[in-house]
Amino acid sequence: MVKMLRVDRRLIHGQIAFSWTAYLNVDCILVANDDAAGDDIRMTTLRLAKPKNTKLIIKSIDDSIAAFKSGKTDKYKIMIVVENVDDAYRLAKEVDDIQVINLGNVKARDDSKPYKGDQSVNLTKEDQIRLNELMTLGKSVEIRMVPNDGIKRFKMDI
Amino acid sequence: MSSSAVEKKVTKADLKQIFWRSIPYNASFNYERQLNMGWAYTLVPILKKFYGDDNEEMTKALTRHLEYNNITPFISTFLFGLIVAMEEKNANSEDFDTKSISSTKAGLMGSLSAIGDSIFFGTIRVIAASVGCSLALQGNPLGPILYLLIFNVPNLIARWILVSKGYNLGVEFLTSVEKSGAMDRLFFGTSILGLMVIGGMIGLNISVPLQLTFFDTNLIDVINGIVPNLLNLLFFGSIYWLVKKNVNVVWIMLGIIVLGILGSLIGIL
Amino acid sequence: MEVTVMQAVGIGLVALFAYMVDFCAYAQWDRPIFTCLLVGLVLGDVPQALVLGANLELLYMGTMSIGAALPPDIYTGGILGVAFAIATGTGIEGAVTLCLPIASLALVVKQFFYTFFRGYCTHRADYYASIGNADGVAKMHILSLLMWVPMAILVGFAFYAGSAAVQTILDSIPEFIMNGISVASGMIPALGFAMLAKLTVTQKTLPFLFLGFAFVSYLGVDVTGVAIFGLIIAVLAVYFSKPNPAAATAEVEDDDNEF
Repeated sequence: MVKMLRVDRRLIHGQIAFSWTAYLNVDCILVANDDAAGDDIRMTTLRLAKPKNTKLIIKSIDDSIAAFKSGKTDKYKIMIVVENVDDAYRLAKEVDDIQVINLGNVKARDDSKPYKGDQSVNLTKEDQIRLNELMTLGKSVEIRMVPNDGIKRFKMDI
Repeated sequence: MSSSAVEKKVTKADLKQIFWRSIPYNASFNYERQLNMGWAYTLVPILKKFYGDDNEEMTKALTRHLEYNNITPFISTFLFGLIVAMEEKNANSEDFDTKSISSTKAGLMGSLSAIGDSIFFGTIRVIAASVGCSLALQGNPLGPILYLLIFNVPNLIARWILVSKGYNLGVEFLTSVEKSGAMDRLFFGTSILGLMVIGGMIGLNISVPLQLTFFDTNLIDVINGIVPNLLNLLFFGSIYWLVKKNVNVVWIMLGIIVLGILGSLIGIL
Repeated sequence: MEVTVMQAVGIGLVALFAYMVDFCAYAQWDRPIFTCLLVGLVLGDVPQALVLGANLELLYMGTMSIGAALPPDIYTGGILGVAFAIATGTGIEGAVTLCLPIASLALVVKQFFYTFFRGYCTHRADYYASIGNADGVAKMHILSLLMWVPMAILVGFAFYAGSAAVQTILDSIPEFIMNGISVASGMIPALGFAMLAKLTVTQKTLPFLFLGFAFVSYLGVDVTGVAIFGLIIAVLAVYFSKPNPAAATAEVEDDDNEF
């Protein structure tokens, strides 16, 4: 089952490797990213950074969706990490098992604004509409950098 | 992109300078792009060497190095070295894709940080602080000084060694480290060390002053009579269980304070 | 104890030095375990300051700043907590009670500077980059440090002006609560240890936690001794756990990129 989908521009780093995997008690991290999946260098370093006792899988978004559809993923407790809201949307819309979407580090772009003043989470209008759509599908969207921070629920703000 | 025949070469002195300039890397943390200015600052001399005579290239280089950046500072020099090697190639060729510089930087900084944080914050600082605290608790000023030494000798050594590893071997170094399983063994070793120290501190640096007497025997003596400091271990175990259950840390802390207040009020603590 | 102007200036300078850790290899000397020594020197009571600093360090050892998350500013909290505890003669209870509220307040002030002043520096740096001025970018990086001057002045001023108020506040807290906090401060380190242990414990490494515990409990070794034994054992364990070929193949199979 999928414990959480995290949006983090740095993909796997200290917060993910320690805090989140321990907190969620997952045994598998899926990095769903089209660039990383084709890039040997990034795959090597992502593997180096993986927490012990955790399986790490790096796949493109389409391959990830296919893997979930095939049911191969059922035996794992999974945390998914994606780079941006677009990827999160593509995955979460297709995969029913994704119920919790966590926004950690979202990159600033020309047309994005820090969400409610939070400079770590930069959202465009488009992002907000998509996240809102995911919420209407019954999924929860939260903003939380590390597990011990308070949970802020996402609410459309445009 | 310089078409002149003179090749721009990185020298040993340049790499040494990267080490020195990595020291203030953390000085300008900001919310928007975190350590981006520190990253650019460290590279300024080398960028001047490569692009000093070409304002357009300089502008591009500065801009790409002011992008979002954050890597564990103690191991940052590895990435600096690696990126310097890429910039060197760019400076000496006509058709180098500078996007690959940005993407390598962005792709590596997170995963390298996971390694760096685990070793430096998860282990070395724990050992440094526990040795420091155990001496300081006895009023010995060597405590803070040893703390500083235990942390910073590895800090500076790692910064020093990793510049040339990053420059000369780059990704090859990471691949060979991964293949050899050296990283797993390093993690294994550092967690043994860290956990032993934590185990020691559970024995020495927790105090649960239980004062519950039955028929003239103090309960704490009974418990600690089975195994010395057993009460500490039991208390640690229950807190560990709460942490493992993901109970919010602030609540646990408040709970302990309430326990302390109630306990001392009834007179059992 | 009456706080003199010189002492307040001294505490301000201690804070300034501590903040400069960002400029100096991120050497971690802003933690209570080190700043307590300096506070002790300024206030003329090193032994007590060391005990207070060590206690605060044990309390907050588990809190880490990993990546971008900013925890309460226990650096400022540690400096002022120890300083006030010595000035008001309230000992460990005082330091523990004061550290966290001060740390939370300091974080708010720090965030203000980070947002506005550092925001300005970042954008200036972008401007310099756009005209190809490398030295300008470097200058903005160093200029960012300026925010610590007002922070340090605030710390010194808070110590000078706040001692009387802090004394009143601490005096108004009923004694049974202060006693309770004192008792609790002996137990709270268990929380930090638990958080640290959770990061590294696996089935394979759990026995080493008990080994460290047994060393101090049965053999009376101190923590430095445990660290030395630990280093030897870690080196041996790593040496003897060299991967054998069979395990290596198993590893490869396990590591493939499939579910």
